[in-house]
Order: sequence, then structure tokens, then C-alpha cells
Amino acid sequence: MMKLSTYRIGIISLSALLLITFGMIACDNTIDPFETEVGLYSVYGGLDLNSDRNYIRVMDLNTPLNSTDTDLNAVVEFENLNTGFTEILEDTLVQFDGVNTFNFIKTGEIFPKTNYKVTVTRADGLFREVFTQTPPKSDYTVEGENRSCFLPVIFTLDEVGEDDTILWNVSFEYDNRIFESPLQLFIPPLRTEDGGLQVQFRPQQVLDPFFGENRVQCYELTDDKFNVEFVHHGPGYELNSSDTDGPVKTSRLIGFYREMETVVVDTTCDTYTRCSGPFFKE
Amino acid sequence: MNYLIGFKKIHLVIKSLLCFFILICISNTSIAQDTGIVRVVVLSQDDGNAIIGANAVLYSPDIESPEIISAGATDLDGLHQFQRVPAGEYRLVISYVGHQTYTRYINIEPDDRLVLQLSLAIDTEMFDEIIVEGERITTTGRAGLRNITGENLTRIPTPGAGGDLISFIQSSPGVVSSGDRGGDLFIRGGTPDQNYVQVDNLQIIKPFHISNLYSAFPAETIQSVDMYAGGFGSKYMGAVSAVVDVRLRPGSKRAHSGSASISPYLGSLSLEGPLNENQSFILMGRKSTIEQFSQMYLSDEINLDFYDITGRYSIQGDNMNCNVTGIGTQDRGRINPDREVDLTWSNFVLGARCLGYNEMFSHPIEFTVGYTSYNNSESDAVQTFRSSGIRQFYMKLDLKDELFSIPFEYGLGVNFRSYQTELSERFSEFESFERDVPIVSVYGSLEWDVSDKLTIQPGLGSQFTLDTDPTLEPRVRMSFMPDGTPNREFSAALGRYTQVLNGITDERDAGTVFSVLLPTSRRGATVTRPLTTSIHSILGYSEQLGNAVRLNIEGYYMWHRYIPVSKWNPDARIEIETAEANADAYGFDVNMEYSSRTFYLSAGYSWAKVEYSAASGDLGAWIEGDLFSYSPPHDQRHSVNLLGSGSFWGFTTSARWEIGTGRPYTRIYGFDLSLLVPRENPITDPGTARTIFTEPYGDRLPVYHRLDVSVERSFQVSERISVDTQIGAINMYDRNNIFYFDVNALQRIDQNPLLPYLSIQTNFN
Repeated sequence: MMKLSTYRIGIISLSALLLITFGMIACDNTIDPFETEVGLYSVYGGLDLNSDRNYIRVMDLNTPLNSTDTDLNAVVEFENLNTGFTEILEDTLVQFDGVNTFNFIKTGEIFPKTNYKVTVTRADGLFREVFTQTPPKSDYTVEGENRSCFLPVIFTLDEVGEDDTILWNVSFEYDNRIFESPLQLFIPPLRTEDGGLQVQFRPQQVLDPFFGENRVQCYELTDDKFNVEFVHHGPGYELNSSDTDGPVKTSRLIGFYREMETVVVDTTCDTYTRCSGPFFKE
Repeated sequence: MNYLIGFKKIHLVIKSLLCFFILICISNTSIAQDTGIVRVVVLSQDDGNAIIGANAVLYSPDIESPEIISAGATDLDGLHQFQRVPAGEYRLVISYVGHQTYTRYINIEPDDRLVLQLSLAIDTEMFDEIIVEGERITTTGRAGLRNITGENLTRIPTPGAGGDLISFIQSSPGVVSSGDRGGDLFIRGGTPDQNYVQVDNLQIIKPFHISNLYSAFPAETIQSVDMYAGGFGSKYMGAVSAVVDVRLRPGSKRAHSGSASISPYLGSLSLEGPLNENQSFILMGRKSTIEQFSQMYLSDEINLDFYDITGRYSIQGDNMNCNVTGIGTQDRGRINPDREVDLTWSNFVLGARCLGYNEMFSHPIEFTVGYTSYNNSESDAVQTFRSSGIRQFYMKLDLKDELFSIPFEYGLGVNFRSYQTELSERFSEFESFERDVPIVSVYGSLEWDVSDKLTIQPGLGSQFTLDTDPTLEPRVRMSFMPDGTPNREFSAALGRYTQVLNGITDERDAGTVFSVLLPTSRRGATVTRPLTTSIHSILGYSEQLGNAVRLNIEGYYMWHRYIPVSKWNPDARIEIETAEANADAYGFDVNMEYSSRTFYLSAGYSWAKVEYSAASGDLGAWIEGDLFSYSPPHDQRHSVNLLGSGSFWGFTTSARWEIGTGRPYTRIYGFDLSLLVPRENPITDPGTARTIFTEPYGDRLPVYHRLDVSVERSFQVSERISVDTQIGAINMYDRNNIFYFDVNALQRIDQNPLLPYLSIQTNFN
């Protein structure tokens, strides 16, 4: 049977209590809530093939946005992997609502179908690398100008990479306002056999989403011009941020160029039947 | 249309069930022609209230060589029923420690239903020899169960007079609290909304105060508490994690008494006494004072404010007893003192529970009717951002009978529940709504003594609403005592549990405990979910070592399915979206208690693991792979609780020390201004500000430990007035335990610092 005297129990309890007390007071209870070894820098930049001055934003992921630091304390290198040419970029500080951003300037030509690398190196030697490939600079042709609004206008680009993304935008003027329509929402592009891309649209089809089917027709527009803009992006372009579903993205380095073409249409036809029926031959 | 059909269906089912229950209540079928029933209600002459656990034995009348015909112990109402007693003459003996034994000869005629109400006088000669047995022995095993008495609670140091239920529960193995604020308890891997708390059969949604040191249940008002950390029987429907079943004590039916106390944390007033010979009341109110006192003597202001009021009216009739209970609570405060958001919640409970054992009934009938409301909200000085609550009116009928000569407990419950939720901003995934949902639940449970050593309690329950099909919830509890005594006991529990109510909290942010209460499934809602379902399995061993030491070992495995959890987007978003996760919680507890007249020591160790898993896409995690598993913030792997209490030289000292390994938290990967190039330009567009997380709950907070001590002494000022004084300290060695890291404010929030206190309580009678 267990028999312990009151005195012994008291002594044991007190000793245990004192031991615990003094042993635990010095116990470390600090935390390091910031991951500083894996997440280093974010890198965001668009490399425009048509521009000789591009900006690449580099942010220190371990520095809160309200930091007053005016120096990133990092070296940013820009390397053409096809030629091996490397240059160190200078930054310009831009402030948005009190938040300092470091935007590095790349001057000079950006070449199509070229691999580039941006390396950001911290003072302790840890670095972050971001790669990109610029798209080919496509020649393009336009068919279907000066025709009825109900007949297709066809754009053909001669070279588009497998992972490239092209965004289309068509604008027109009506009632002294400019209307813009993202064309890719309703016209799926077609790949051509020789590696190009073809996209077509009917001008009247561009008007309908704004006004209703055939409610406003081309002859009612301010002029007979449709401006078609396309932006050809290299691999890695995202239409929307997809962080929710995929891996977290702290870098986007995208090569691209932008082209604009004005398409003139025939606005003399006022109904589909009249222009595409017996009175009209394609 | 479906809604209407559903209502008609439920109405029809309720009517049919009620008719069935009424018929069997008054039926005579359970009595064999040559047997009778003897019901004994045992009261104490001291206060006129029921004695729980009194031994009731029916002997043959022969004094020389008496034969035990039937024996048992009185229940929480002081009632014991001898079933199927053959006609004849018997000697009835009632005994209870500290009371004089009662003996009476009774004669049973065929078909008799004899009701005897008797009072046991205090045995003044034996009184000094009494060692009070702290726990009430249950016949269905200890698996998952802790019996708690008011005396247990007073052993835990609390910064005010008396003890409190929550302090004891938090010291129980397998219970994790989110910190020292918030009033949330996680029991064996379950979440706070999966716990079911009832007081005198009346549900109370969140009775735990925001300080985590107090609840609506002070030791002074508690008669007993059964806390099931899983594995509860079929009587308890509507929860998938744990049940806390509180019985308040009735006020004394013999003398008036009262008390008033004040401490830096709390002030209280209580009053009780008889209204006449058979009726009594008890009234108690408590109000926190820490918000005012902390400004005076602590370095940090503590923005917590709460109160609770408890009232109880009891009547003891010849053939029935009734209790009317009312509880109101109100909490307000901030978990992060620097965040300009006040959390508030309130409970209101009013209801009556009556037990009838009239000769007219073939078996005792317990009837409960009650109203419960709860609301919680988040607001600042100007407006309320969001609020959510429920109101419910309910009735329950519980009966005890025999089925194939085996004690059979069964019942029916009807709950008319109404949800009200006003949401904005963070919870925009859920639309604001109001909804009334009737819930019907039925259960039946046998208590089968297979032998002197083995008892099995199989049960089956079901619940259904307008929106859900009937559930099927089989459960079994069992107890095996190799010696035929409770000295050594193996116990086990296994069962299926479902819940028709969900509480959605933003678990990514420990700075809020606001919870959206909503039915699991709602017809017509944009977000519908399967019922949260669990399977519990518990295996326990308990042994009495000598007279003073008791050892309990228990292992468990719980499967929880369809738990709504916060989606973990890699970037910190204010809005919460939820996904369904499954959880496996398993572990074991070891607890040893030493109890003598002057000393009480308790040491407990708990090892636990809780693992959630969900489809990566559903969870919104950016982790690669189809299934993502993580440890939620209440996954505390190891915890040790030591509790000591002793009385010497007129002083009573108590100390409690707890240590727990760190709980998971999510580290910050970085801060960023994200740009969608080339659409956005680094020079002209700011981009989107983001705080990016690493893998959810990928790291752990430091070890937590805290020592609370108190020394108490009572002084008898006059014959009718005494004063209890207590000095003590919470967090004795001023450990700055971390509560959580606020990723929004980039701020470490610590738990309360050293809190010394002096409390004074004046008692009169």
C-alpha cells in the first residue's frame, strides 16, 4: 500500500515546484515568423520588343511593405543567355502610397526568340533567378478589308510559339465614345499548319455584345474604322492571377510586343439580308 | 413545395412518436402480474435535497441470514427504482456515507407501484471520519468520461473566490484551449462548435467566458458535471466531439445563506434558501472587474469584460421534482488588444426539467422544456460588422423502462431552431440569412449487465431536419471489471455521431473567435455541405492503487468527416472561403490522482495528434499533390498538467502547473506588390499588396507553460458570518507565453502576464 506522510508529500511537492519554476523561467519562447531563407525577392517585368527602355520591379520579400528603406541592397543582373552578355541594372525608386518600390531599368534592344535571365543577389550571396523567353516577332496579313460588316476580317500571323499567348482587342467609335472589345472572348484562334495563327471576326459581331444583336449597325458608327490591337506574349503569360489554384507566383518576366492595325469596312449595307443575300457576293 | 412537404412529414412523425410515448408511459405492460415496482427517493435532512449515490438495498426480511434481492445506487435525482420485485415482504436499507442508515420493512403486492420518499439524517458521530468520494461511479465505464464535482473545481487556483468549471476542464488531458482568451475549447481534436454543453438538460451554446479563466458555471452552483471527451452514449444527440453535461445544485431547503466576494478579476454575489419546506432557490451573479483593475496595477491593460447570472428554482414533491433554471451571460473584449474590433457574445437559457415518478407511470418520466438563445458579433465603436446567432425552443422526453428485462432508456426530442446571420466583408461567401429548422431526435439505449463483471450499453439514435435525411447513429459503451469491483476497470466506447449545426470561424486568424452558425445543409442555399460526421473509438483502463491513488489510461482514435475549414490561399486575404476537410485525431492520456484527507495531487500527460486532410484544389492550397494534409492550430502534441492542493495549519494551498508543446502556426513567406505584367507597368501601377504565407501550419509556436498558485484561509467572524481570503497569482513566474502572431498587424500577441490577486469573500447564513 502506498503510504506517504504529509510532511514528505509537502517537501516533494515544494521541491518539484521550485525546480519547475526556476528551470522554466529561462526557457526560450521566441518565434521567427518570417521565412527568410527560401523567399528572397519577387521579380516582375515586361520586356517589350518594341521598346528600348523596360522596367523590372524587384521587391525584398522579407521586408514589410511599410519599410522606409530606400535601397534594396541587392545586385540585379540581366543576362542574354543566347549570347552570354550580362549587364548590371540600375534602379529607380518609385513610391506608391508610401510604399517604396525598386524598379530596375533595362535599356537597349530586347531581341525576339531569345532567352533572358534576371539574377537578384543578396549581400549574403543567396540569390533568386528568373528566366524568360521572348516571343518571335511575327509578320501578319489582314484579309477582308472594305467589305461588309457581316463578313469576316481575317488576321494571320506567320509565327507564334507553342506556349505564346496573344491578346486581341478591337475598338470602334460610336456616339462620340470609344468602345473596346477583347476579341479572344468569343473567337477561338486557329493554328495554321506552318506554325502561324489565324483569327477572324465579323465587325457586326463586335458591336452586338454592346448594343444587342443587330441593334446598332456599322453604318451608324462615327466612322468606318475598326482598330485591331494584338499583344503577342512569350511563354508564362497569365490572363489573371492564378495564385489561388496553383503555386504561389512571385515572379513574372514576360517578353512581348504590341501591334495595331486599322481595318476599314464597307458601311453601305444596312441589313444582313441585303449585304450577304442576293445583292451581295463575297 | 418541398419545404411544405418536409414540414408535414416532420409534424406527422412528431405526432406519431408522441402518441407512442404517451401510450407506453401509462401502459401497464412492463409489470408482470406477480411483481411490483419500488421507487425510492432519498433526500438529505441537512438541506432537503437529493442524495446522489446512496446505496439502496432490498433484503429478504430474515435478519439472521438476509438475502439481497436487489441493490443499486440513487441517481442524480436521488431516485432508485427496484424493478420486477416479486410480491412479498422485504427489508429496505438505505445508506450513505456521513448519514444515518435507514431501514424499513415493506410489503409488495402484485402490480404494486410503491413510491417512498425518505430523508437521511446526518450522522454526527461519523462526520469527522468521512473522506468524501470525489467521483460518482458510473456503471457504463469511464471511457471518455470525467465525473467532476464542485469540490474538484475549488482545487484549481483561480483569481477570485471559489473555482470554475472551465479551469478544471482545461486541466484535463486532451483538452486544448486557443490561449488565455476567446473561450474556445478543443477536445481531443474536435473544434468548439462540435462540443455540446447542457445544463439541467438545457443547451447552452458558449458558456465559456472570454477570459478562459471563467465560465457560466462557478463551483458554488455545480452539483456534478459529466464531461465526455468523446464516446458518449445515445442520449446525447447533436454533437460530434464532446459533451459537457452540467447539473446545478438546488438551493438549500432548510436555511438561507449568501455570499459576496471581490477580487481584481471578479466580483460575485450569491443567495440561496428555502421558499417553503419543499421549494428552494439559488441565485448567483458574477461580473468581471479586470478591465478596471488592470489599469491600476498591471502594465498591460486587459480589455475583457463579462458577466453571468444564474438562477434556479427547485421543488421537491411527493411524486415528482422540478427545477426551473435560468442563465444569462454576456462577454465583450479583444483578443488582440491593439485591434479596434470588439468581440461580443451572449447566452440566454430558460427552462424547466421535471422528473415524475407517480404510481400512475409504469416508469419515471423526465420532461424538459427550454429556450436557448445565443448571439456573437464583431463590431467597432461605430458599427457591427457581422453577427450570427441561434434561438431555439425545445422539448425532450426521457424515459426509463425495461426491454427483455434489461434496463432501457429512450427518449424523443423536438427542437425548433432559428438561425439569424448578418454578414459582410470577411464572410461574403455566406449570404446573410434567417432560417427556421425543426429538428427531431430519438434514441434508445440498453444497459445490459451481462455478468457481474461486464456491462454493455448499446444504443441507437437518429436525428433529422427539413433539410436532412434521418441519420443512423449506433453507439456502444462497455465496462469490464475483472474483479467485479470498480477498483480495476477496462472500458471502451465506439460510436457514430453527426451534427446538423456548423460553426464557421476564420481559423487562419487567432485574433477572432467570431463564428457563423449555420445549418450544415440548407435547401436553396448557395453553399450546402454533407453532415459533419464522426466515428469515435476509445479504450480505457482504470485502477485504484491502494486507498488513495487512482490511475487512468486512455487511448482514442476519432475520425471526423466533412469539417468546414478555412481555405488557405497563399496570399493573406480578408475574405474567408471554406472547404471540406477530413480529420483524424488520435492519442492517449495518462492521469494519476492521489487523494487523502489533507492532500490532493494529480498528474496528467497527454499525447495527441490531429491531422486534417483535404483535396488541394478544394483547400485552395498551393501545395503540389492531390491531397494536402496539415496539423490544425489546435494540434498540441504533448501536454503535462500537475495539480496539487493541500490543507495545513488552517491554510489551503493550491498550485497548478501546465506545460504544452507549441501549437502549429503559419509563417510568412514574404511581403509583395504583385504585378500582372505586361498589363500593369512597374513605373505607373502599384500592383496588388500581398502577404504571402508558407505552407499552412508548417511551423510551431514555442513551448507554453504557466504556474498558478493560491493560498486560502477562512475566518469565522461570528456564528453566522465567515470570511474567506485568498491570495495567489496567475502565471506566477511571469512567463510571456505567446498567444499568436498576428499576420495582419505583424505583431506578436502574448498571453496575460503575471496576475497577482487578493480575493475576499464574506459568507453568511
